Amino acid sequence: MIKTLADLNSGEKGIIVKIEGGRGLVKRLADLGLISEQEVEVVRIAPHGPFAIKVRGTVYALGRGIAKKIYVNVV
Amino acid sequence: MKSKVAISNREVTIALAGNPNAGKSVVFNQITGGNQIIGNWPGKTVERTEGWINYRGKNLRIVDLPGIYSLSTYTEEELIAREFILSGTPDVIMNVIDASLLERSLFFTLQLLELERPLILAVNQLDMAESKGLKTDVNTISKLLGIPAVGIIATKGKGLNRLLTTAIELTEKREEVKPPAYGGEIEQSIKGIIDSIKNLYPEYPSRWLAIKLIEDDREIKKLPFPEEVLEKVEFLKNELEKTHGEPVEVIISSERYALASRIARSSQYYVRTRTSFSQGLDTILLHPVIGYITMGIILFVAFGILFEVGGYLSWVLEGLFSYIKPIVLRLPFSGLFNDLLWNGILSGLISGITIALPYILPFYIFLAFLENSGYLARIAFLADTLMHKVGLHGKGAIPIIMGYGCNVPAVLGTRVLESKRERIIASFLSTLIPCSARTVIILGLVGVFMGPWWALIIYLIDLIVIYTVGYIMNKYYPGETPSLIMEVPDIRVPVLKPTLRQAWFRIKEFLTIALPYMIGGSLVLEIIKMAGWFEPINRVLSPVIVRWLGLPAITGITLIFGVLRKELTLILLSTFSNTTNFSLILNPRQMFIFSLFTTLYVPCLATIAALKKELGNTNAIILTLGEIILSLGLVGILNQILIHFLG
Repeated sequence: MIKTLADLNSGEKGIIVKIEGGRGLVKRLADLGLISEQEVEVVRIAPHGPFAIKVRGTVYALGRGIAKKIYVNVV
Repeated sequence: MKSKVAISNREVTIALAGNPNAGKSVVFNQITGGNQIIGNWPGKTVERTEGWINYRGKNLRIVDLPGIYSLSTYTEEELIAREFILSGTPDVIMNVIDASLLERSLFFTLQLLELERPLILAVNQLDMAESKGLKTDVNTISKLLGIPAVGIIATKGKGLNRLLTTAIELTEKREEVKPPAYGGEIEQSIKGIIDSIKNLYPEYPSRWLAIKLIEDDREIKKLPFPEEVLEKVEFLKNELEKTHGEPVEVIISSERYALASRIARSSQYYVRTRTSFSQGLDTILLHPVIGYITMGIILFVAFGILFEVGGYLSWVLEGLFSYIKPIVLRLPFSGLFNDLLWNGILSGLISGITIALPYILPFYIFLAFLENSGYLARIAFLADTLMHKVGLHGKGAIPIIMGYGCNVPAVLGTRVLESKRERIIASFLSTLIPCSARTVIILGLVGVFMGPWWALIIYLIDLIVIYTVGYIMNKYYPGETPSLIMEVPDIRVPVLKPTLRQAWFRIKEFLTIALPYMIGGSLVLEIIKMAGWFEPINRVLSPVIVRWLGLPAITGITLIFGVLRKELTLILLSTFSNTTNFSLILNPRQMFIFSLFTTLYVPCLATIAALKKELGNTNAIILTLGEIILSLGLVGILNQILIHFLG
């Protein structure tokens, strides 16, 4: 099932299908390892706030706005 | 560089490159020891650290590049690192990587490899990787990348000798560096371009140039290329995007990650998996409720201690300086000169030092500790939601928190923010934060004579003002708040030396910015005093001070002095009225208004200097005037209201 990263609960995993947004943002995320077919795990969610996600062993904090642009296939 | 000395005696320059938190600065400190200088990259606000060491008869110069994730050009740091490597200055690039984050680290390594410069890999934090249950085979990494790799544990100094020896060997061998090969279609596109650009820019490796052209690199695109080359690039890019259905720069990044992932998988495997110490700690530190409580307690306790320590140290220092005073005043010059020298120049200098050493240095050490332990990133994570309301993302909380120690580092600390808009908002908000000097006034006046609850009310009013100002600025300042993208590194115990060094560098920066202004300011004030202008100034200010703010006329001149150093307002008030019992000269309303006004009325001179340095003259003036107008309006109105209640 395809959802955005922002729809996942903490502890859930998904595989990135698509990232929307300007080229700059997409490239920046790609540099951090957020690219299609990559597995992402939501580690923690701050109330109304950013998502802590785990990609390739690293935890990143992503603003909710960005999490809404990342589409994943829920695992 | 191009000296005629035999190569073996020439200085060898090693550039340290790597991701943030990979342990680069620890490696740097371990190698260079004390022999180093910290400064800024020419014309940039990015820190540059350089060190020297004579290692087995070789003179080594080590340059620590900024910690970055990629060699694209999205940040100033990335551009600086890339330009320095391509300039040909470093004889060898030493890439420090975190073994526990192998895949992401190698993504960066591959980009370094593309630059075709001598490269050595320092596979760091093998102990951390092991504690996560990861076994790393350094030799396989070396073989697959085609470059030397040395396993190290920088914090314990392990493997560093071998690292240096291997690096020096590398400069002597002068072998060709083979760039990484990517997938079929991309390789074809690269080859298609290489031939037509081969001799255009000899300073760049042509394969790298071809990749950058395909990647649409901002800097490389600025260079002139023949029309047919650009057309070809455009055609190949379109082809790639059509087959992959993604922007071409992402396709290349994916290629790099695919290769990095292959290398990581063949050279590292899990012996066992277990929850790391840091992950366990995060269930508390990042908890939606307990996390905030923990943050509040940590900051409150830390600031309490820092404030107490600062008070004590500054008392000791002032005691020391009071011994110098009679000596200076007895100097065989005229009395006028001695007064200017002591009250003007020296007291400005002493002011600077008695703020910098007791208050700001411990504060900087605490901050560096927070930063290097990884907790600062967690504060940014927790604060993100709230900070968005005032036009900042989570990292904006960092300068705001720093402001409670001193506004100068807070303003300098706005560098962590990406856009000018954010930096202006964050700077303005942090100049409204009651720093330790203003805390002295609030606690010493309102706290002592009216009670702690009244002091707390001042802090609350201040927070409401900051929130409102931020909210309004966010609404009317054109532009958008960027979203947070930030690594949350594992919690770890910071290594002491780099932490202290970082604090020391920052305190030096504070002194170079603030001291000239403090000395100049105190000289001007001494002249005003000698000219006997106190009375006239009080008279000129009295409509505002007496009528509007309802304060005694005598406070006028103290507020002028307070621009130099905020707590001078209170010190001078007691000097002028010959008492430390302020209840004799101020009624409760006046105490409250006086404290609130000194908190808000203007950034101190040193802060204005910092604003000027970070945001330019115009912005510094606008923000300063804005603050004066805001405080006069706000505190004046509050005074008119309070008159009815407190009399």
